[in-house]
Order: sequence, then structure tokens, then C-alpha cells
Amino acid sequence: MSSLQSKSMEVEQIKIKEPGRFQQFWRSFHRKKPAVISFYFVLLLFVIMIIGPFITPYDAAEPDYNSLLETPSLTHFFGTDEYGRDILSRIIAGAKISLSVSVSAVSLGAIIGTMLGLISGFIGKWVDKLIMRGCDVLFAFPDLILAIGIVAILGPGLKNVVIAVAFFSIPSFARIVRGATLEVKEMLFVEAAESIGAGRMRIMLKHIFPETLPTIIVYFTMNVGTAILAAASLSFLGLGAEPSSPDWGAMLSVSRDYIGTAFHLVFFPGLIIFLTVLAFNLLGDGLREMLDPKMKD
Amino acid sequence: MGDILIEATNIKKHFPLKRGWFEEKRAVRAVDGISFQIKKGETFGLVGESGCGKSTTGRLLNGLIPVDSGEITFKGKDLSKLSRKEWKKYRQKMQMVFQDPFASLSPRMKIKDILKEPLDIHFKQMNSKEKDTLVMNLLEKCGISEFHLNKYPHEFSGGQRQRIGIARALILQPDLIIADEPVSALDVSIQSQILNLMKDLQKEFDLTYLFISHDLSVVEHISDRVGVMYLGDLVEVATKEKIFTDPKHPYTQALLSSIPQMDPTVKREPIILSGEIPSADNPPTGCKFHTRCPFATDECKQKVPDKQNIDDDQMVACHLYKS
Amino acid sequence: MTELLRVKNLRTGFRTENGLLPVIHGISFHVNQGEIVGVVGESGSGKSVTSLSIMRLFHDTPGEIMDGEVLYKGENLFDLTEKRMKQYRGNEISMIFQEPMTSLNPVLKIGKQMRETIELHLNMPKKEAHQYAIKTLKSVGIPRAEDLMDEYPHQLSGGMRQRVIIAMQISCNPSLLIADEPTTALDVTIQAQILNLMKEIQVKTNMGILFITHDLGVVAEICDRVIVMYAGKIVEEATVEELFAQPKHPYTKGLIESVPKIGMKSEKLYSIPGTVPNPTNMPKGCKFAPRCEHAMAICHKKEPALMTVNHHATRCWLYDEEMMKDKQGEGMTNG
Repeated sequence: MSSLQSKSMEVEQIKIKEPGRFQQFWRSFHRKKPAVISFYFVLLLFVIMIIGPFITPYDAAEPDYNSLLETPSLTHFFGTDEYGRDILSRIIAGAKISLSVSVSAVSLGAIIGTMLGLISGFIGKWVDKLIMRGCDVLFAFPDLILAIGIVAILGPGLKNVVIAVAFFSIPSFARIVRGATLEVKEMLFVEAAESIGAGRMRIMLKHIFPETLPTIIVYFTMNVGTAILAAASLSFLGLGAEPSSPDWGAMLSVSRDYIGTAFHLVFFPGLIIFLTVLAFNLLGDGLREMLDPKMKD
Repeated sequence: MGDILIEATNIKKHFPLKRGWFEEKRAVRAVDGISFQIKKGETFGLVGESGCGKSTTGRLLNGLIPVDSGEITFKGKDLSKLSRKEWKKYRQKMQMVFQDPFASLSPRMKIKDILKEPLDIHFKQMNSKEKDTLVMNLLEKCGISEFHLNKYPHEFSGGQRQRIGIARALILQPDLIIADEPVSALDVSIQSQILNLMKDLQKEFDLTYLFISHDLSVVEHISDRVGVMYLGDLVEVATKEKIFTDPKHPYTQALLSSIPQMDPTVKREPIILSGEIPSADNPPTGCKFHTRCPFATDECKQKVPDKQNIDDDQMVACHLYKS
Repeated sequence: MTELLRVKNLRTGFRTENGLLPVIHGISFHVNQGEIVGVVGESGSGKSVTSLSIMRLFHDTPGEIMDGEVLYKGENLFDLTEKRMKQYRGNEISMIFQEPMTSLNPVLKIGKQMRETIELHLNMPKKEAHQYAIKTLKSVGIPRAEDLMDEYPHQLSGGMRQRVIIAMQISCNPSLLIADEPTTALDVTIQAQILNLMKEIQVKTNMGILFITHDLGVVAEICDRVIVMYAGKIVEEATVEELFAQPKHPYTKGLIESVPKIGMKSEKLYSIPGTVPNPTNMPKGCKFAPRCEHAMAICHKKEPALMTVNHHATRCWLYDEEMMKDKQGEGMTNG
């Protein structure tokens, strides 16, 4: 209803005088409880990632043959594994691997995908067709199969896991940024920039890109969750981290033999993967509602 | 005054329509062969109803969209023959002000950066301090205090944003400003502020305006000469005085009589045009106005009227005025 | 003349993060049968919110009625249940919006939409409703009404859509029509058609019309009486002849003077300095004082009341006799 529009404009005018953008953002963000809890959980993970080595109760790599496969107790909160290593310490140490692998993989994917999406959406014509058909081809493979294929070609190891996960997140970033670009391209301020003589590069980077940024941030957050899962899966299959390293996926992989006898070996790494992925997804959902209400579909 | 700054000769722009496979190809004939001149230092008003092609005309002159055919000369040079690089130079001398001040400023750029951007593009050698001084001087002339330099567009009201838009257009010291409905999104009390500002700036910087608007009273106030458009054609061009006191074309007459007067004691009899504005992708044959014209004859239905100069400064395209 | 609508001390606010923010600060006016009352003001004056308040149409918006009464034929609309109110909307009070497309369902044919309205409000069988719809469409000057019944809204032009809306709204013979900027989105030649049509219908049916607009020319053209709003308050009210011949409030005067008029030979337009105040940050005293060139000390301290002299109401200290007497007195003693 147009009168509603005009009214929402009036409401907008009211908002203008309120405290700064960020404060306002923060305040309304705090009303979305799941997202807030997720935010603090993710924050905690990053803190652990940084200060992890200083707070682990035991050395994550040092075997202790006096306490093999101990169940959770006051000395070992999460119990110990088949070499007597403290599981809590290993999970804390593993946070660094999981997060750095997934964040760097998604960053790489996001950078390349965003560039492709911007070019595709802004230039259009055959460039657009070429890039989008390329994305379609990549989309045709299930993510994990694609990643396995890449790691199989490049050889196992964390570096190649990063490349593999980055690779399969490129097309989704490209497609979402292209959509946002097509929308922003039609806005009057882009025409205004053209009218002052701005070149294509300037228009893309200075005028269109900032407008697509909220979409990218939301999508980035959600993709980190997916990437953690993918990296864990690759490690689980023995294609990622070394089996002895405290990577969460690798921990799961090694301990699956003990699933009947020492359940905590599987339970805690599994739980932390579950919680982390959930947290990134909920945070992404919350951010989406705040930054990009149109993306809901 | 007197020298021709920009001249359009028989310019055309048709936008093709996407249709089904078997339907014949059609196009919106947005601008259908119009010619006019704008003299240095004058304000040329372009009026018409929505869809008549007046905004497209502005964009054609500025080169935002290329012409299909016809010629535009700016200071005697044919613009269609310029390369992309040369265009950039001419852009500097030809700037635009847009209708919607809420949409024409990049939302995530500070006012300072919005105003500096044209300088960044065209005067790469200028240092940051010089740019700042230029920006500040101009903003002040446009009625925005430098205190606002670090704010974002959403923190301003519509009128203030339009002032910023005008400042951006002026910063490259252009000769011609193409203003596309610059005041129609604003409240009346703000509208008069902006119109006054544009008049002051015109005097100060010796500007030439192409003022595009649907509002005849505004056009009458600001223009020296006026062109009236209907469905992609320029049906009448004359000095402001002639258009508003002695309009020749029946469409101009109807437009004028439709303006609500601010005097309730005058009971005017508007010429109520019958019917709707035809669609520009399928305009009527002959004179495009004949479907609504109270004086239409058979000739009007078949033959496109010639553009006739009734006077030195009055052109009309209508069969009624055949010499 | 019988009174149709009386709004008494209406206060409406918007829910914000900091609580309810009033945007209509207690306005009172009335509309008689057979009368066209104009409400003019700029954006942010609260004119549209006023119309929505009368209709209680706030579904998805943060609007909320805080206080006051809306008496329609003596009955307070704010006391009605939502179900009863629905019967009033359309049957008794109709509303036309600026953008006709918002009131039309894009996926239903015009005929079906017309019929549904008529069936619902007038309890007519389908066949009869169809004939009645065609008759109404013809009455608003649509020549090919039969064909139009089978068309979708997007196939029509803006002016034609607005005609359809008017036909739909008058089909149930309402006594009161609220028109919120009905011609603002239209071209002047089409606007002239629609204004003419509305006047004709008003004369024929003798209904009351509350006509909300920002365009003073349209007001002069169509209205009998005018209410000028500024920042959520009525600042002036008079008959249309009186208002244009002798505007009193400095805001009204400024508004009238800032519109360019054809044939006016002045270099500079009058313009009101500054902008409309923000509802979160209303000035003390008279809301217009910061922009007013006649502002006195008292204007910044105390808000004037709406004072009526000979059916011409103004909210301005300049027209307060006591005030002016005091002022003159001061001048005398000083001299």
C-alpha cells in the first residue's frame, strides 16, 4: 500500500536521528536470541583458537599410557583417548585447525567468487554467460564429491583441503553476488556515477561492491559452517589432516573403532562439530534478517 | 547569450521490446527524431507527460545512452564521433542532476567522498588539500555546512540531498547542467529553495540548463525557452512568454489548461483531453496526438505534420498552422 | 447540512524502539455531507496518518491510535469491533490511495474484483453484480467497460486504474470518501480528468469527501473547506476562498507563496527556510517557530491554541488578541 510506504518513509525519518548505525544495529541484533548466543559461541571459539595453547590442561599430543581410554572425570573433563591424550585439550587445539582451514577456504572462495559475480553481473553479455555456465558445471557435482576429487588429484593434506573447499564455494558466491550486482546496477546512483565519467572499474568497486557486501557477509558466515563440515568429512576420510593431529574430523575418524567401548571418544568431537556448524548457521540467519531481508526465500 | 552550446539534430532512440518468437519485433519509440538548440547561458525547459521521452532526451545528450541516429553537437563538435576517452573530457563539461535525491547518491559513501569523486576521476594530479577546499567552497554555496562532510547520505533530508547532488554536478565546473525533474520529489517549501539555488548558481557560474520537468509552473518559472514533448516528438518549441501566453499546438493548450490554478474564485474550463496517452511502442499514425486532439482532421490521421517555424522563435508541428 | 464525520482530539503514534512516538498531536475537525474537505501539508505533516487512523488501517505498520474519537454519523469508530469496522469500510466509508496498483489484486481480472466487492457489500447475486459493475465502470467514464471486465490491472494505464478504483469505491454508495493523494501519481491532463470525475460524482451522490493532498492547486480546484497541517497539528482551517484570499498562518502564507505561478514575473520565489522538524526532536512552543520569520519570544516558549474567528481558525500568536494587546502595551510604555 502506498500510504504504508509513505508511512514507512516517515518512520525512516524518525530513525535517522537515533544513535549511530552500528549502535542501532547492535541493539536490534541483541533481540535475536539464537543469533546472539551463536555469536558469543563463535567469538569464544576464536578466542580459544588464539589463546588455546596457553589454556589446555594437558599437552594435546603427549601420550599418557597410564590413563588410556578413561571416561570423563574431574581430572579429564572429556576423558582420554586410546593413547591417553586429554580429549578436551585436543578439541581446544583442534579449534585452531578447523577454524583456520574453513575460514581461509571460504575467504579464498569468497574473494574469487565475488570477483567473478561482480564481473558477470556488471558486464553481462557473453562474459556473464561464460562464467555462469562454468558455475553450472561446478554445481552439477555434489560439493563433497568435488572436494574429494580435487584432493585426490592434489594429494591429501590441509593445504589441499583449503583449496578443495574454496573451489566448491566459488560458484555459490559468484551466483549470489551476480544477483545482487544485477539489482544494484539498475539503481540511480550507478547512473549518477556514470554521468560524472566514472569508469567501469570504479563503478564496480566503489559503488556496486559496497552494496553487495551485506549479502556477502551473510553468505560468508553460513558457508564457514558448511566448510567446517566439509573439512571434517575430508579428514574423516583420511584425505585431510594427519590422523594423529587433533583435527576434529581426524579425531572422529580415528575413534570410530571405539564407538562401542568408549563412546566419549566419538561423542565430544562430534558434539563440537555439530555445535560449531549450528552456531555459524544461526549467526548467518540472524545476520541475514538484519542485513539482507530480501534474501529470505 | 546567443551562441549555441548544444544542438540536437533529428536524434532518435528506440528501445527494443522482448516479445514472443512469432510476434513481430516492436520497439518503444522513446525519442523519435527531435531537433533543438540550447544557447549558452539560457535555461531550456523540456516538458511533457510521463513516457513522452523527455528523460531519455536528457540521457542522450549526456551520452549515458547512445543515440540510434541523429547528431548531437556540443560547442560545435559532433559527439557521436568521439571515442570513449574523448567522451570523458566532454562529460566534465556536461553534468546531470537527477530526480530522486534519495537514490542518486551512493548510500555507503561519505558526502566528502561523493563530492571528491568527480575530481578523482578528472583531475588526478590535484592534491587532496586542493580538492578539500574546492569541495568545501562549493558545498557552502549550495547551502550545506562543512560540518556535514563526514556524514552519509541517509542522514540528510531530501532537500539537502538534492543540494549535495547539485554540488556534485558543479564541482567539475561544467558548462551545461542537465537537470532531470530535480524538484519533483521534494515538498513545495523545499522545492522553492532548490529552484532559487539553481537560479543563483546559474548566474554565479554562468551555467546553461536543460531543465526537464512535468510541472509546467516550475518550468515557466525557471526557463527562458521551452520545448513541449508528446510521445517522443517535440511538438512545440518557443520562448517561455510565447508558450505560456500564446500556445499554438493543441496539446500545449490542453496541458496549460489542465494545471490547477491556485485561485478558487476563478472557475476555469480546462480542455479535458479525451482518452489515454497511447503507448509509445505502438504510436498512432500521422500526427501522434490526433487520437486525443479536439481539432483532428483526416489529414492528421495520415500525414505527419511538418515542423514549422511560425516565427523566429516559435516552432510548432501541427497541420493547423500550415503556411 | 448534516455532519458526517467528526474527529475529536485524535492522537496517533508510531511504535519505535524507544516507545510510542506521537506523530498526530490531538487534531479535531469535521466533514459534512456533500462537502469536500481538503487536508494539505508536506511530507511528515501527518496528513496520511490521519486518514489511516480514521479507517483504523494499520495492519503491518507501527501506527497506533493513542487517544481521541472518530464519530461517524454519531457513532465512535474506535469503539467498534474489527468485524463491525470491516462492514463500515467500503460500505459507509471508502478510501482511494495514491498508487492505484496497491489497491488492486494483480492476479485477478478487473471484473472479478469489482464483482467481489459488490457481492460482499451489497449482497447481490453474481449475475446482477456483473451488470452493476459494468454500469458503475461506465459511470466513471470508461467507454469499453465490458471488455475491461476481462482485463488484468497491469494492462491498464495509471489513469484508467484510478478510474477503476473510484468505480470500485463508489459502487457501494459510501457516504464518505477518503482520497489520499489520488491524483499525485498521474499526469496533469489525466489529473484534470479525474478531478472532474470526482466533482461530478460528489454532486450526483452528495457524499462527503476528505481529500488529502500536498498540491495547493488541486485544493483550490476541488475543495470547499481546507485544513492545513504542520508537524502533526492543524495550523489553519478556513473555506477555500478565504484561505487563498486571506491566509493567516505564516506557514500557509509561505506555502502559497513558494509555489511558482504561471504569469508571475518574479525572479525569486519565496521560500520557507529550514525543514519540517523531526518527530523525535520537536521544538518547544510553536512547531513552526524555528522556520517562521515573524517568530516572537513567546512562540519559542508556548504553543498557541487554535483560535477561531468567523469560521477561520489559526494556530498562531500573531492572531491572539490578548497577546497583541500586551505587545502594543509594552511598546507604549517603552516609548
